[in-house]
Amino acid sequence: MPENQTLKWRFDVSTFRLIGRDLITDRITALFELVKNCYDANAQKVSVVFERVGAGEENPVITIEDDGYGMSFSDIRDKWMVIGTSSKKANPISPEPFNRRCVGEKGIGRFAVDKLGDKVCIVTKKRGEAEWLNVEIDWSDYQNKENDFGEISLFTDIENKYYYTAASDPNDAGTKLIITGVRDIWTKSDIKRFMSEVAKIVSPYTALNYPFDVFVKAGQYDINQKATRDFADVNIATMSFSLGFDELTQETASFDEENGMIRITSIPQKSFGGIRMRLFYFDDAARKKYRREFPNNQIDGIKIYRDGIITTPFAENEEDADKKRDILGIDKRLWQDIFSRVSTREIIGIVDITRDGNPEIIDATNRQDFVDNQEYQDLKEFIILQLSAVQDYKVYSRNKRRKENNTTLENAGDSIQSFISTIENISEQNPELKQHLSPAIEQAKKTGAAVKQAITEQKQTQEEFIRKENIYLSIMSMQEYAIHITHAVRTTLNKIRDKVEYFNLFFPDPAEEEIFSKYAHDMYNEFKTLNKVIDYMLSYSQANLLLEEVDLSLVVQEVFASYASVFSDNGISPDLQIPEKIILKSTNKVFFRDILNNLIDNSVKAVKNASEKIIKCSVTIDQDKLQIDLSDTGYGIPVEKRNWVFGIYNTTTESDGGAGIGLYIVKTRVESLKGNVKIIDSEFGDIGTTIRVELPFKR
Amino acid sequence: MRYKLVFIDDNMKDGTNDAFVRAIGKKLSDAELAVFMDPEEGLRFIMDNLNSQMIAFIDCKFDGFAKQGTDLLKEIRKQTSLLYIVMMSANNLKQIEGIDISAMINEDFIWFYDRNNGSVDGACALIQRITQYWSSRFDCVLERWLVRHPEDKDKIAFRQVSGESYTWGQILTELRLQTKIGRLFEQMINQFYIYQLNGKADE
Repeated sequence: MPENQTLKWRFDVSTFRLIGRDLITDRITALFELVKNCYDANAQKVSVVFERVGAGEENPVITIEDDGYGMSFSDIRDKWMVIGTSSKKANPISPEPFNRRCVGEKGIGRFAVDKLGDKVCIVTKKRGEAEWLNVEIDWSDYQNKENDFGEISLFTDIENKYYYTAASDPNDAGTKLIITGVRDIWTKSDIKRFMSEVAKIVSPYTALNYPFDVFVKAGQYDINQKATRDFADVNIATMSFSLGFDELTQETASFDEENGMIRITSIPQKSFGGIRMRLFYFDDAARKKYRREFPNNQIDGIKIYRDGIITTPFAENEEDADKKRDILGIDKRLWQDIFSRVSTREIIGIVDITRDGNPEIIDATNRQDFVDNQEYQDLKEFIILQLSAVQDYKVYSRNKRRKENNTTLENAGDSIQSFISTIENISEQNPELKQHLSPAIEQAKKTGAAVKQAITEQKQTQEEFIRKENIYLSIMSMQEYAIHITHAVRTTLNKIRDKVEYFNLFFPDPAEEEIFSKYAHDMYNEFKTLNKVIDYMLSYSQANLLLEEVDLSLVVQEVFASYASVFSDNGISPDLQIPEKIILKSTNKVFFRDILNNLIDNSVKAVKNASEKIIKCSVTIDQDKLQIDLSDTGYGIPVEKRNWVFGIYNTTTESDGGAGIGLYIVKTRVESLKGNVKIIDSEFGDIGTTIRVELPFKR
Repeated sequence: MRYKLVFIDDNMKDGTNDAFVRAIGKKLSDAELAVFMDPEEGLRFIMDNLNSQMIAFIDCKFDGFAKQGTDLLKEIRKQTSLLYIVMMSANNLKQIEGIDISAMINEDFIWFYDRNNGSVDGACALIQRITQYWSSRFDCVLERWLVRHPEDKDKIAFRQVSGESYTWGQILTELRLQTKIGRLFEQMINQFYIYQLNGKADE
C-alpha cells in the first residue's frame, strides 16, 4: 500500500453563505461591520451613500468610502481574500500615528457585503501608488454554482475579476466598496436607524486621538449629515452618576436615603477588572422630552464599549426597542420589585472596558453576547447592582413626590378655608357687600368641598395602589414557589407511582411480603407529605397576605404561648429573650408565624431524647438588621448538612416523622421577607442547634 | 455479562430497596445495583470503579446540595468520555435551564429518562440498548475477552518507541480513562482493521 498519500479539505461553494449571509444576522449589523473595518484602517472620515434604494427603483447602490490606508494587490490577494485571516489578531493596534485598538478582529467582517447586495466592487489604493486597484466579486456567481447540481463546485474555484484605473493624485489612499444588486429596500426610517446605530459606535467619553466621523447621504430622502455625534443629549437626564476605578479599587454606587443622593464608594476590584461606567436615569417627564428632541434615538439601556468602540453584542440593530435582546439581563430580573425596578427604557448607560484591563470579557463568536465565563457573570451582576441604586432613587423620588402632592392639596384646602373666612368677615363687617360676595362665598365653599373630596380620594387611591401592589407581589412570589412545589409534588407522586408499578409488576409474591408491606406503609406517609405540601401551597391563596404593621415581640409570645401544652407534656423549658416591642412596618404576620412554628416543631422533635430540654428564642436588633436566633439542646445538625437541611424533603428527623418540609418553608418565607436564614454554631456549645434568621430592619 | 447500575438521586432514601431500583434489579438479573443519595459519594464511587462496566442514572436536581446533576456530568466527563450516563428528572425538559440542557446534549453517551412519564419497562429497554452498544465497543469487547482469558491480562499488548510497554490489562484501563495512550491505541487498532479489510477487498 503506497504511503504518504494525503487528502486536503476543500470548501463547497455554499460556504460563502455560512460566513456571510447566515452568520451576520441583519443588514444593519452588516453595514456596521464594514464601517468598523474603516475604523481599523485608520480612516477619519467615512461616507456611506445610498442611491436608488427605495421601493420600485432600479439599480440600487450602496457605497462605503473611507480615507484609511487602503490595500495593495498583495493585501487583497493574501489577506482580504483568504478566509479566516485576521492581520488584526497579530497586530491588534492600527498603524502609527493612530494606534487604534482594532475592533473587527474575527476576519469575517468583509463577508458582510454579501448580506447587503449581489455584487461588490472594491476600489482601493495605498498612498504613493499610481493606480487604483478594482476587484469585482459577484456573489450571484457563487449562488448559481450552488444551485448547479452535478459536479462539485468549490468556493475557492470561482474566479473574481480585477483591473486597475488611473489615480489623479498619488497621495490619495483609501478603500471604497460599491455594493450593487442591493438585496433589500432601504426606507428613510431604515437609514435613520442605521444612523442612530452608527451614532453609538464611539463611546462619547473616550477621547479618540484622531476623530472618526461617519457621514450618511441618501439623496432621495434628503439625508446628508454626520451620523456620529456627542452624547450631549443625556444632559436632559433626571439623575446621573459615573464610576471609575484605580489599580486596586472599583467605585460602586448606592443610594443614601438620608441625603436623597447617590453615594459612591470604593470596593476591592472585581474579577472582571476595573471599569468606567456612566448611568443616566430618565423619569417620565425626561423621557417625553428626550423623545421630542431625539425622535430617531431611543433610551435603550446600557451598552458596553471596548477601547472607545462599541462591542459587537450591542451593535445589532432592532427597530422595536421591546424586541431588543436584553444582553445584560436587565429586564429579565423576574418579578423582583416589579413596581420600582428600573427598565432598559429608562436608562442610558455607557460601560467602558479595555482589552488590556478586562481581558476576560470576550465577544462570543456569534457576536450576540460575550463568552459566558465567571468574569462576565460578575460584570453583569455588578451592573445590575448599580441599577439598584437607581431603583432606590426612583422609589425615594416617588414617595417624595407623593408626599409633596399631598401637602400641596392639603395646603390648598387650608387656603380656601382661610379665604372663605376672610370674605365672610368682610361681608359681615360690610353688610352692603353681602349680596355681591355671597355667590363668591358659595363658589369657594363648593371648591373647598371638592378639594376635601380630592384629598380623600387621593388617599383611597394610594391605599388601593398599595393593596394591589401587595396582591401582585404575592401572586408573583407564588409563581416562583409553584416551580419548586410542582417539582416537590411530582417527586412524591413519582415515588408513589414507582411503588404502585412495583405492585402491578410483582404482586403477589410470598417471598416479597415484607417489601410489599413496607411500600404500602411508605405510600401512606407519602400521601401525608403530599397533603402538607399542598396545604402550604394553599396558604398563598388565603386572603391574609396583606402587609401590615406587626409587633414581632407579640407574635413571638403568641406563638410560644400556643406551644405551652406541648412544652409541658414533653418537659421542655422555653426561654424567650426579646425586647418589649419590635414594630415592623408593612410586613406579614402569617409569614412570621410560619417561620416560628416550623422552627419550634423541629426543635421539639430534636430535644426528644435530650437530658436537658431547652428551646430558646432571642431577638436582637443590630443597626439595620433584625436577628432572630432559635436554639435548642437537641441532637444537632452535622456541619456538612447545615445547608442541605433547607432543601425540600431533606430531613434529619425522618424517624420522628420529619418530612423535610419545615425548614424549606422557613427558608422560602424568610426569603420572601427579603432576609436570609442559616444554621450557626449552637449557642449551647457541643449540643443542640441554633438557627439564625436575619431580616432587613428600618427604625 | 455482569455490569453495575449506579443511581445517584437524593430522593432514593430506601437505597436498593427503592421501588424503581428494585424493580429494575428484578427485571435485569445481570445488573449489580448501587444507590447514592449524596452526589459527592456517588461521584466517588463512579471514579473508583471506572474500570468496570457501568451505567450511571443521575438525577438532575439535588435539593440543598452544592453539586447538581450537570456538575456531576461535567466532573465525570473530565475523567472519562466512555461512561454511559442517563440523566433523570422529575421536571420536564422545558423546565430545565437551557444552559443545563446544552451541557447535556454536548456530551457523548448520554440519555435522558423522564421520571414522570417513564416506566420500569422503559428504563430497562434503555439499559438493554446501552448494553447492546457495549458488544460493539472496543473497550467492552476487550474486557470480555480478558474475563474469559485471564491469562492474557499481563501479556504485553503495546510497546512505545520510548521503550514503555503496556499489558492488555493496562490498555483496558487507559481506554476507559480515555488517556492519550488509550485513544492512540484505539485509533491504531481501528486503522489496522480498515487496512486489513481494504486489503481483502483489493484481492
